[in-house]
Amino acid sequence: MEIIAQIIANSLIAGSIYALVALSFNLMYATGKFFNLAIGGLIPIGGYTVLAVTVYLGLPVGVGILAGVVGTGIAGLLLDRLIYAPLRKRQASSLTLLIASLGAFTFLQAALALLFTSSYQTLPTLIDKNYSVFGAQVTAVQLILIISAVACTLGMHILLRKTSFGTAVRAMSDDLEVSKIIGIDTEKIFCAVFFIAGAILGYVGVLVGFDVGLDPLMGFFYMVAGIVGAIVGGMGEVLLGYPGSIIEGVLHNTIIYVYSAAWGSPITFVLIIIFLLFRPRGLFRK
Amino acid sequence: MTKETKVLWVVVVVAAIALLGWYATTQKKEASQTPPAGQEQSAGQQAPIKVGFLHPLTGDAASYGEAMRNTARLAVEEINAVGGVNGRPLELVMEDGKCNGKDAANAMQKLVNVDQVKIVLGGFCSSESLAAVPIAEAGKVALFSPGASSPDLTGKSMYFMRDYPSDASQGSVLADAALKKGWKKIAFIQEQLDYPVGILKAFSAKFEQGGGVIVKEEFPTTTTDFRSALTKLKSEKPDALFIDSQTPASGERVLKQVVELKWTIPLLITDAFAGDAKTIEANKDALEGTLAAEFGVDENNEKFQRLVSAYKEKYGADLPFQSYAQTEYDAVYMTRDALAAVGEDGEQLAGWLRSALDWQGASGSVTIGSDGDRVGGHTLKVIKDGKVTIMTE
Repeated sequence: MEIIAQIIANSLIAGSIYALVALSFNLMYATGKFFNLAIGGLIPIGGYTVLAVTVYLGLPVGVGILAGVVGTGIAGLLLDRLIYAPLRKRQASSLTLLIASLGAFTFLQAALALLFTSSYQTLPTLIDKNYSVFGAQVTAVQLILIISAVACTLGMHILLRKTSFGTAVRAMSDDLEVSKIIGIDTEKIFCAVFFIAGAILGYVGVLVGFDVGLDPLMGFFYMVAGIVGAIVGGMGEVLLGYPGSIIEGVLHNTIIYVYSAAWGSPITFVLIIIFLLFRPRGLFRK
Repeated sequence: MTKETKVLWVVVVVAAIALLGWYATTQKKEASQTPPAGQEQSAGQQAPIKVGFLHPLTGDAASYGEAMRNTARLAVEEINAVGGVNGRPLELVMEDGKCNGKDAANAMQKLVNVDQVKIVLGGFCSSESLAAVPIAEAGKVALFSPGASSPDLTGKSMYFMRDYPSDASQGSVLADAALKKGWKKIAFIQEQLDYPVGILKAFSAKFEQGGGVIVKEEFPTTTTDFRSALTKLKSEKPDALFIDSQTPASGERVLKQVVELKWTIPLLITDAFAGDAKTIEANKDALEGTLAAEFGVDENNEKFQRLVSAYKEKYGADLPFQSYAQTEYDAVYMTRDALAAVGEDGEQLAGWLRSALDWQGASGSVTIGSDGDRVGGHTLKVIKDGKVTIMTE
């Protein structure tokens, strides 16, 4: 019983990280219509900003976390202004944008490695508390992760349904050209979208940094896992990335428990490929 | 460009190449006619015995190579000062293996075919040794490594041996300790790389022979989430957990999640992890009582003390990379003894070194087994209050 509870908890922790990444990915995919692989480079920025601000500069943790979230948001915004916006202007294909984002990913990883070395680093303990839920051990940071994933997804849902910004995003997701014609300042919306998406990734980086530590290459796995979660839910469907990611987390951890840790990732991804072959539109879309 | 100038240019280029070629060949002849400087100096004495030296002298691993070169030179000078081998001095022929297979193979070819040495000290890196072994075998030259630790080199060739222990030896030392503790079941969380695999193999061979059971979970290096693997291992109710990681970083990650799962269990770690004093100190509470096996130095060994003071006197610096320097130093002295016993014959030198039994040196008592590996070498350590200390009980 205790073990089952722990496996469920582990699945939720992993799934929540994927869900946050999926949320960010979906937001960018819905508007920009391309796979932004720079996600993998943006995630660690959040964690490293905390390291720089709290450990190197000695400022309070709260300042570090805020700087990590906002800083990564700005990094996401800059990527859009400096790389994606000029390409969009030239009517570049989504493949061109994907390759450009791969370049950005490589650059960010290398830059972080140069600044902070590529060795593994840990952040100071945020909240030294453990909770026992039905015998499963969960740390405070992990609990924050689980709650954040639900809160951010719901928050985003409300933002998209109840605000004029949300209406604009949904319009752009339906048709970018028509959105421009009816007078939506799409570039302004893109700025906001990339800032918010970046900030979410920064938040992921901060929490993952507190949870398991930092290295410049850490973003890659979470990026892949997050995109897979988005695909399972249905690409571009902001709300459905959450259940997609949780299913992925449960699948991964169940395979580890039933079979073996070495096969966790390979089997999960094979199942995803099979899934894509038979239900490319996602699990929940009709 | 007119036709005439074109022809003129061709003539000039051809003439230049011809001149260069002629110059090169005459230089070579002159060089081969003058006797080597070393021989001239030792006129009246006997010719030196050439000993190959294959270490990384440039590149990332050069800091090791340089320290080893200094150590080997120190030993050679000491030996030559008291008459060398049967009155003949030793002479080191240095080659740069750059800690990789390709350059080591080129360097080894030169040592074997051009310098025609009968014994080579090296390759210092495992990759150098692995590449040099086939060349040593073909040329019937003994290859004696003071630094390579890959288990892949065990029993590789009749011409290869080492006085630095294989990584696998720590596995068997720890298995003995586990059996002595009365542990029946050990859980392994093992990184999917050669070094951790080697340790697991050696550990399980010994531990299962003694009636123990091993449960294991493997993980690729990129893994950061070990929770479910650890949960599974925990449910097996083992007596101890072996964190079999390649680096301190992955070891520390696993350790953090063990603590977070509120799993209190005796731990075993690799020497790569135990060797990182900073990480050990930072995790001292979680690691209290943890077992490890290291190939360290014995500061009470008189020969080791002599090496340290002689090095300081000659180079004005503290002996660097001590666990390697001690085997480097011993390798030169063992080479001397081997040469004195069997003469300049690669096969016999290898045979002599491979039967070394309780040879006393700076690194303690050296015994080399029939598989070419140093027997034992790793000592059992226990972590106490953030320090890795020798196990006394």
